[in-house]
Parts: sequence; structure tokens; C-alpha cells
Amino acid sequence: MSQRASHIEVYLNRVAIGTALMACLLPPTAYYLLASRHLAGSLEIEAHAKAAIVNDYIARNPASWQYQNERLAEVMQLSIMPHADTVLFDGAGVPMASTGANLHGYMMSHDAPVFDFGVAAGHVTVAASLDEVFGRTGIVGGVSALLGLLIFFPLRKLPLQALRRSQHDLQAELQRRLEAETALRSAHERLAEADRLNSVGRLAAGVAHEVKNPLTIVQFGIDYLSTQIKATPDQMAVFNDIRDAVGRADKIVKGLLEFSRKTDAERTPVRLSEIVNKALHLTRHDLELRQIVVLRELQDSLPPIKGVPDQLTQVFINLITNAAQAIGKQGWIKLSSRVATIGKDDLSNDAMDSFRIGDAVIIIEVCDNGPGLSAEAENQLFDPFFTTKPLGEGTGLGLPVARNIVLMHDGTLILRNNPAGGTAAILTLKLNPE
Amino acid sequence: MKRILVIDDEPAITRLIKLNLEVTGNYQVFTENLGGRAIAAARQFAPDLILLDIMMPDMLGSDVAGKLKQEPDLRGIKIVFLTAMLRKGEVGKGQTVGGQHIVAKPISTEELIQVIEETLA
Repeated sequence: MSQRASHIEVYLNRVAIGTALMACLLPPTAYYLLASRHLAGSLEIEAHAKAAIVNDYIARNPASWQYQNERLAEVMQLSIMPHADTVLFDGAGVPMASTGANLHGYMMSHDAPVFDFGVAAGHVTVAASLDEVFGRTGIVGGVSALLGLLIFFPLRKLPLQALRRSQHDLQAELQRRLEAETALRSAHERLAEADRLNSVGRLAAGVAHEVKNPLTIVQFGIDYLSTQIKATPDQMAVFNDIRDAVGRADKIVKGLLEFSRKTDAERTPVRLSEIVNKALHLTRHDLELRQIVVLRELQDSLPPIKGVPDQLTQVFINLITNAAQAIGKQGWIKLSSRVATIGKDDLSNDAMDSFRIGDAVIIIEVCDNGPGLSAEAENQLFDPFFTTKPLGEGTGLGLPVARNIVLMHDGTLILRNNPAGGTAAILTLKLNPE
Repeated sequence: MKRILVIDDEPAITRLIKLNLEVTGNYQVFTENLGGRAIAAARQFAPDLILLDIMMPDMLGSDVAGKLKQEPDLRGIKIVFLTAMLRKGEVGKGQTVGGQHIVAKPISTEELIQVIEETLA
């Protein structure tokens, strides 16, 4: 729990303890005060009543009352407080008569003066035991202690539970907002990338056209010069180098044109198994030269998707070619497919922004047993012109072009290392509902 | 000897195609750098085949081809389009657009001659 929450918990504990203590102590204290005040009041009334009785007796027996201790004790027996003890003291404070109650323990008393013809002749003291008050206070205290316990535990627990629930809700809300912010940032990045790609595409189209004419001039120039010069072997080699350079530049320019192309072409229902077969057919020579075996685990009954056949064929040509170049010589490429439904866990991958939970998709994997992706390659795979291939083999545009086409088909393309070795290119496309 | 008319806005390209084709001894080549003068050039040189650039600043090659088809005395001339804008996978021998052959620049002289011969065959 956070530091703030710990402070709140300590505070709640103190409040609970304080409230429970108050519940334990207040009632018995209040009872004692009230009961003792009541007793004090009763004693005062009793004392004055007894003093009045004695004053009356003194008035009727002025000469002899001092010698009539027993009679005085009798008249003082009349009492509204049966458990109180009454003692008559003379002016010197010496007890003269008593009702005889044998009180012990804690006592409360009240005095009232007696008069003999207006002259103070002594006082009456009425006393009562506090034992009963103490006893009842104890009972009240016991009940209050129970009440205190009943208050303490819920008071300590319930606010904490509410606090924890509230904190949990806050954390969940914070997590939701963070995820929404991440998704928004991701969407912004994709928009920015799409805009950049669009700009690069327009630039690429312009550059491609402007570069091709000079390349044409170089090509035709070399063709003509080679007919005019009885070239030495070195000169022929130079002519061939120039032709090769024109060819390489032309490949790059064609790749740029691919990169810049928009999906204006009409999308029709296509069967990916047929698309893959066509791509394999077009790349078979290169695969045979490299002695690479192709393992097909594609379902022929895959449902159709909506796409541009030529473009999708280009995607698989690029993926197969990329895999073959990674292997070099002697190896295998495996193509597999499955139909799946997008689940919540799938969307945790940033590359899956094109889909929603519940989308039916086709997933095709192109795996190879090449050396796999280095950390550097993983980060730059889809950057135009990034390549790990030797000079002249690959322009570094195959994967960016493939990904561009897949994105325009509202799909995703990711490459990752296979746990068992090699690389897997995973292409995911939405199913075309029939 | 076969008569070839090359129409391209790039003078170096028309000059080099002329040199490369004529050095074989099989072709007589005429050149024009303005699409707008294509009809006049075709009437003047009466070619068997026109090598026609598509992206020309004054007139697109496709428009030139359209105008040629409207002329009864010129509609029989074979046309091969030259373009810098073809996409990968779409260039191939025998590729046609609207019944006309189309080749992508850059192209070697040997391949160009092959397309010319196939078209005139």
C-alpha cells in the first residue's frame, strides 16, 4: 500500500481505538456521576428530614432531650432511605444517637444542623454505602466494554475495506487511462508513419521516374559504345560493370515504385492458398538453386479474403525470397496456415492495432531455419534500404514493401525469432465474410 | 529495312536508340521529341513501328496512340510503349496494354530489338 494509504490506516486505527475507548468509558462514568449525585441528593433530603425530626423533638423536650439517646435513635429510624445510617452529634461532635446501620466500605454522607431554641446544638449526619453504586457502575462498564469491542473491529475494518476498494478502483481506472493513452499514442504514431510513408511514396514515385531516363541513357550508351570499340577484356569488364550497376539501380527504383503504390486496385475475394502457390512457382528457380526444401502445411480449404491478388503474391514472393536469402544454401522454408479469432491477449502486441477482439482472421507463417534475426535487425527490419545481405543481393525494400501492402489490406506483418531457431514471418489478415 | 520512328521527350534517348538500332544494319530510325508532332512525323516517315514514350510533357503517349488510331492511314502502324513507371512483376516479354506492347525503361538494346521483332512479326 502507498505511504499515504498507510497513514490513513494508522489514522483509522486511532479513530477506532478512540471511539471504542469512549464507548467503554463514557457510559459507566456517566452512570457513576448520575448515581452518586442522586445519592448525594437523597442524603441531603434525608439529613434535613432527620434534622427536622430531631429539631421537633428538641422543641418538645427542651430540658431532657440530651439524655434521651434511645428515644432519639427511635425517632431517627423514620427514614426514606432504609439503607442509610443516621448519627446525631452534639455540639462537641460526640455521637449521641445512631440508627445502628453497620456501614462499611466507601460511604457518602450529608450533615444537617439541629437547633435548641435557635442555638446550634449539634448536627445530624446521614451516610450511605457506595457499594451498590459501584456495583451497578461495574455492570454498565461491562456492557460498555462489550459495546466498545463491537464498535472497534467494524470501525477499524470497514473504512479500510472501503479505502482498499477505492484504491483498487483508482488503480484500475489509472491502468485503463494508461492503456488508452498508449493506444492513442500508438495510433498517432501509426498516423504519423502513414503520413511519412505517403510523403516518401510521393517522393519515391517522382524520383523513380526522373532516375529511369538517365539510367536508360547509360544503358543505351554502353550498348552503343560496346559496338564501336574493339574492347579489351578489361574494357568489356568495365562495360559489364556499368550494365550491372544500371540493373541494380533499376531494381532499387522499381522497389521504390512498389513502396509508393497505393491500393487503388480493386479488391476481390482471393484464396490465399492459390496466392502462396503462385508465389512458390515464381520463386522455385531461386529455391532450387539454393537447394532449399519447401514444406507446405497450408489448408487448401482456407476461407477467402478480400485483396488484390498481384499485391498479395508480391508479399509472399518477398517473404519467401527474404527467407531464402537468410538461409543461403541448403535448408527449409515452411509455410503454415490457420484460422483464429482475435482474443484480448493478442491485442497486447502493438502490431495488432488493425484488429478488434472477436475478429476472425487467417494467420499464415513463413518460417525458415536460417540464423534468425539479430537485435539490430529486429529493430530495423522494416526500414527502407536496411539489409543484412551481401552487396547486390537484396535492395532492403522487400520487407517494407510487403508490410506496406499488408497494411493496405488492413492486416499485420511481424517477424520474430523462432524459439527453435530461424525466423518466422507472421502474416495476419481479416477473413472475408461470405 | 524496317522503318522505326522513336518518339521520346529525352533527346539523348532518341539519339542512342537511333545509333543502336542503325548500327545493326536492319533498321532506319527517325526521331521526334514532341508528342504534339507525332502525327506529322508518322505521316512524314511512314514507319513500320513507333517506339512511343508515355510520360511526355506536352502530350501523353497514350493520347498520341489514340490520335494515331483515329487516322485511317496511320492506324495500322504498330506501337511499342516505353515507360519509366512500370511496377515490378508487370514487366515481361509480350506484356501488352490495350493491344500494344509495353516495355519498361531502362532496357537493353538486345531486349528492345527482341520486342521490335516480335511486334513486327
